[in-house]
Amino acid sequence: MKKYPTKTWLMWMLIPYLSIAQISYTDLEPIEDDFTKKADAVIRSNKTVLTIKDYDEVQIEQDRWITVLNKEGWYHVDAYTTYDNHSKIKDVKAVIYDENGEEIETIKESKFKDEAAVPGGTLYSDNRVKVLEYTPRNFPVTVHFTSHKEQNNTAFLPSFKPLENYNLAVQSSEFVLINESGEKIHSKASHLEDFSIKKSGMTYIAKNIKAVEREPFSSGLSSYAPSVKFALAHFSMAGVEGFNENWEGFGKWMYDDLYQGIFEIPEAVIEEIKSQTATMSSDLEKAKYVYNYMQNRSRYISVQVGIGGWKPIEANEVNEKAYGDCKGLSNYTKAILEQLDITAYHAIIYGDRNLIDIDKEFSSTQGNHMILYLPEVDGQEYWLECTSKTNPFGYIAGWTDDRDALVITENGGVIKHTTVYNYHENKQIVEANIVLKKDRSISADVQIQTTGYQYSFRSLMQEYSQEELVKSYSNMINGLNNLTFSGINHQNDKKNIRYNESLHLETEKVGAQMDELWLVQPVFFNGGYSIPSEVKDRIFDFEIDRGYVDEDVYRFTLEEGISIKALLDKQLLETDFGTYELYTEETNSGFTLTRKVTINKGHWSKNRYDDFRKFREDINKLDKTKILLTINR
Amino acid sequence: MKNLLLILTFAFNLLAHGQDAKFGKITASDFGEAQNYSELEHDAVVLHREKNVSFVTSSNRFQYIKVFERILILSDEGLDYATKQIPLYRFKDGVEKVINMKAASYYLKENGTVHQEKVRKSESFLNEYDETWNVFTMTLPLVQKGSIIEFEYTIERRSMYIDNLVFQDDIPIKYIQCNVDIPEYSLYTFHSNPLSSLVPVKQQIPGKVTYTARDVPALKAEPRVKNYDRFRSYVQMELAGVNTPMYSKTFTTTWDEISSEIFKRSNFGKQLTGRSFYKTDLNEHLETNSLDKENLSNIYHFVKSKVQWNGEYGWKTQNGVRDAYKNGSGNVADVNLLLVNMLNYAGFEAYPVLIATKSRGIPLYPTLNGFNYVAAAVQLDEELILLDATIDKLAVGQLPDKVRNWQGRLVKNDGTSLFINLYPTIHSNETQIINASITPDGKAIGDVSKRVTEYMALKYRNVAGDQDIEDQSKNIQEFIGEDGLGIKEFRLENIENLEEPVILRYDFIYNQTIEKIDDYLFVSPLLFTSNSTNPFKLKERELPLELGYPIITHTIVNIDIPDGYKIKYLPSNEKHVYLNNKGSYQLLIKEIGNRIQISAKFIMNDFIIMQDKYSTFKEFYESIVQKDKEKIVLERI
Repeated sequence: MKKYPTKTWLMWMLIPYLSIAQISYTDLEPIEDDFTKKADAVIRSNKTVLTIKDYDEVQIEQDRWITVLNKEGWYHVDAYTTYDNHSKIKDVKAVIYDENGEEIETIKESKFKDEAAVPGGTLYSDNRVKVLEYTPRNFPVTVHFTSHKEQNNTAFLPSFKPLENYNLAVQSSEFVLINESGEKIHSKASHLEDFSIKKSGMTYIAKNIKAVEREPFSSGLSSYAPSVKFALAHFSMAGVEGFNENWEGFGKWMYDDLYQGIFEIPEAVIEEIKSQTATMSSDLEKAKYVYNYMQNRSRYISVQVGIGGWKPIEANEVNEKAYGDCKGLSNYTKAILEQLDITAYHAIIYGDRNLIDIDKEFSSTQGNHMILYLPEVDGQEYWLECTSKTNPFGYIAGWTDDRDALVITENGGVIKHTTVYNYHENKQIVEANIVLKKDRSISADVQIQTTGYQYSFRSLMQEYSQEELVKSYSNMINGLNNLTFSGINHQNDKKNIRYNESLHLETEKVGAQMDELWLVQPVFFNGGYSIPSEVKDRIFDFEIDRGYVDEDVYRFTLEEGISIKALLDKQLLETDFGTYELYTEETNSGFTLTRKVTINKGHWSKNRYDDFRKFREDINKLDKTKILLTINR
Repeated sequence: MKNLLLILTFAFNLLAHGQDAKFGKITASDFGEAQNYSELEHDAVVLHREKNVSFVTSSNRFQYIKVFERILILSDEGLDYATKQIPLYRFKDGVEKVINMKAASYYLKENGTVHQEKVRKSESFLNEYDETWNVFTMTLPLVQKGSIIEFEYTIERRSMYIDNLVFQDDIPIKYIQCNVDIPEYSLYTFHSNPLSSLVPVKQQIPGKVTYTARDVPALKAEPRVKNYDRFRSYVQMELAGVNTPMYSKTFTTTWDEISSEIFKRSNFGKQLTGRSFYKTDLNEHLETNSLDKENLSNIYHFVKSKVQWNGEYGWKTQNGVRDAYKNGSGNVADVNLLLVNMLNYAGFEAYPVLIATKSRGIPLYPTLNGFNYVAAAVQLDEELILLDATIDKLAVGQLPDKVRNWQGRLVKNDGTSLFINLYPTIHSNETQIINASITPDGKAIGDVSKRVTEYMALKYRNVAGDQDIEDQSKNIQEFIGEDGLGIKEFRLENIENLEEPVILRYDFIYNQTIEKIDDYLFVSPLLFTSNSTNPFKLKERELPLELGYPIITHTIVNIDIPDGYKIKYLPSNEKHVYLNNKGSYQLLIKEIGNRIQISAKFIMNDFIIMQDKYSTFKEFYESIVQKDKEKIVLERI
């Protein structure tokens, strides 16, 4: 699914801008030896001056010195500046210095590469970027980048984020905000004390922040790094005047002003929908009909021009073209629902695999995606992902679930938390009847059923060809080689949001035979749990965003002449990260194997990481447990 | 008689298809084609595609490329075909333009009639992507699964350069036709891609050539083949000459003519002579004048330290070697012609080698246009050694994978030239010795030393990355890591010393190799180096399987038999052979005192497995996996 950012991606590109009184190479503090640990680059000095001239005019100056230590570090140079019809680059320049501080080259604005800045998944956008093109020959190398631009779009202001990224050390980073406008500015600071950030008036200075590395399962840089976010209470968004006192007021402005004149749809469509739903007795049935109608006839196309980056295209136009972006499709669905007296609201959200919240404590232009919020349909609330052509009604797992969203209502903006998919709903059940034969071949009938979050990836298989299915099963079933499949049958039960698979498989030469002994690893159809990599001196806490349950029950039948020498001892792991259970029971015809894994959602302190690794390592090992059979000659 | 029949067939073909597909002429039966294709198999099908190339040669030279296509959308994914993006190149004389764009979508109404929805101008965009490319984008309205879409447009190009005529897409094509109006007095020859078995039907009349093909299967990517585009069906046109009543000239040329000509060029031959700018530096750098491998390596690494590749391709220099040397960066030719220049200066017999990278395909006839890369070759005694100074981690004799594309053309300034092999001839070697003992709680502990050469060593160097030795060690440990394998005392040698084998040494604890069941211990002879799964899962392949280079891996494991146990079972010695010595695997196990010694040797001489040999190769690999699964069984005394 191509549910990608609206114009807010620009916001990320704006971080961080700098600069005023220029310093020279010799003014830079030398880099201490131990300061380069884990760093690919060092920000020597980074100054951003943000001047608010008016509610619709800001000036951003940047003066950035960065020393790049190796090839990977070039990524951190960030010598670019974006622009569009509402902003103007006054100046941009880069000077390159070698290790000894000798100037190698000056690159003027005309030598910067000027290119379209169209994010992935978007067909067209009017954003452009001027970016430094330079190939360093030796390291370390120092880049002095200066830029100066004016913009009339004030819906986003640059933030102060001195620790911009992983593997980057910061000697000095400064942010100065000058307000010449008399407009009110909101700000929100995080983690400043942890890094002894100095603040005087609206000037922030960060000194000597050491580089950190990305760590597995970490809660992300923003949960650790210092930042100050800013927003204007009175702003201009691509030429449209806007107001933001708090979420309520910001939402009210969007509802009353920005989102006006976009709801009209042709009479013929209204009539068609009304007549098709006339006999339906419940609102839920009607809402499902509308969602399905939209999904069938529309497709996702993203075009972001001017205010179109924030304001949905008119419902009429989406109807006529049968395509739209997330805003257009959401708005179209809302427009039809309201014709049936079903209330629906626009909801601004971060669409992402990770759970990213709209910051409820700080109202500003946030989010990169829009979905629809239905506050009450037959007594229940629903969230609709309108860019999907296949999601069941109300299903949002994987991209917009379990996070705070901004809902735009007639009474203003309200922060609401989207559907949480609990571990016991996110379930996969594998049941198999397996025959083990004397020639070490097996044949098995397998049934797989998935619900909740796990449905979101299994249900993708409904689009697979036979060839792709065979390929994906072959990759999935790791312990067995050379499989032959037949009778693959899939059923997507959208009503109950459940995906059902059944298949038959056969293979030869399972396990290893040593004389009469036959060693078999019986957890055939699951397992392969990876072990998180080791982290020395971990810095970040860690988390699991979504819990789940996997249940496997395999009924083994042994062919005449095979006998059991040793089955498994019952295995049980119980931790706060989850549980694991594995056991076998002898039956008349052979034995049954049962495996049950529960993985919990949660957030844990960094000092528990080794326990977490141990849990995953134990599962990995136990899944490879073998049983011993004998084959009579 | 036979000829007449042929001509008749031609005429029939032209009539049958030149006429029946016109923009906007869609009938209900066209939608019926959907029954012939599976939507799970294919996202869409091209029902008809026509490309007409013509020229205006009067005052300004224009080329018009008219395209008409009709596509039936089979699945939701196929909706992407309703969005058209046409990259437009900025030629010297001006940027390409899309003119006369017509586009429409069609669906079948319930009453059996066809609804047409035309695109509006507001639904197209011209994006100035960068200095070289514009992108024309448009998307069609009212498109659904089962819709038919049509595009008809002309690209106006201010250049005579003719694109390859492409006959295969990533979706099936029912019918495709390419017509090229040959400009008066021009002579062309035509070359079809030898890597594709699909050759379109050609019909030529004076002034015009037509190619047609029917029911062309989709070309699909497969794992372990790079740039599958190389295998697409296409025809390349070569301007062979002009022949006017007044004047005649042949462009068809020989490799030797190309070789002489290229040395006259300022951006090639002339780059091999100027020396004043580096002489002093190089003389200071070199300790001897001897013409041996050590000095060759010295010069090679000297060039790498002075000039960084800027990511641009080409056999022509971009800035010139002098400029590249001064500024420290340049394109492929800047870097590698400087290398040839310096090697010659030092007295080596060095030559440029013209190469087409894998993404470029292979040159089908003598032409410089077929190449996009240049490397260096040095004749040292009996050995021809290839060098490429654009990539830091390469050693003498190594080329990057993208460049190891069959053959390159070595050119000499005496006007001669020859094809040389770009494929590696030396086996990449990985040898390791593992000494292990078994602890009472069923773990294996011991030490490993491993020596890796050639392209395998390059792989380790790439994994290691560019950071300090601590990070490099960490990256390598992750790379060689296995579930349950704990690595201690890890030491890494020669990662930076490119001309030497990479050496790893470490101590280990491994807790997943031994099963304690009843009175038995089951031990995998190769411990954590077993081939436990067959990575080759496809039943068959349409494209060759590329393994990169010839390989020998040799693993020797010594396992101490723990006290209180005796051997109950040892896997038998076994050898498997792939295609009479193109590859082999041999496992030998013997008991020496209270030790078991295991030797596993895998040799693969072949590194491009053709489609028809794939299943044999897969079976060969499967037998290795089966053999490695066998355990040593120890029994409590």
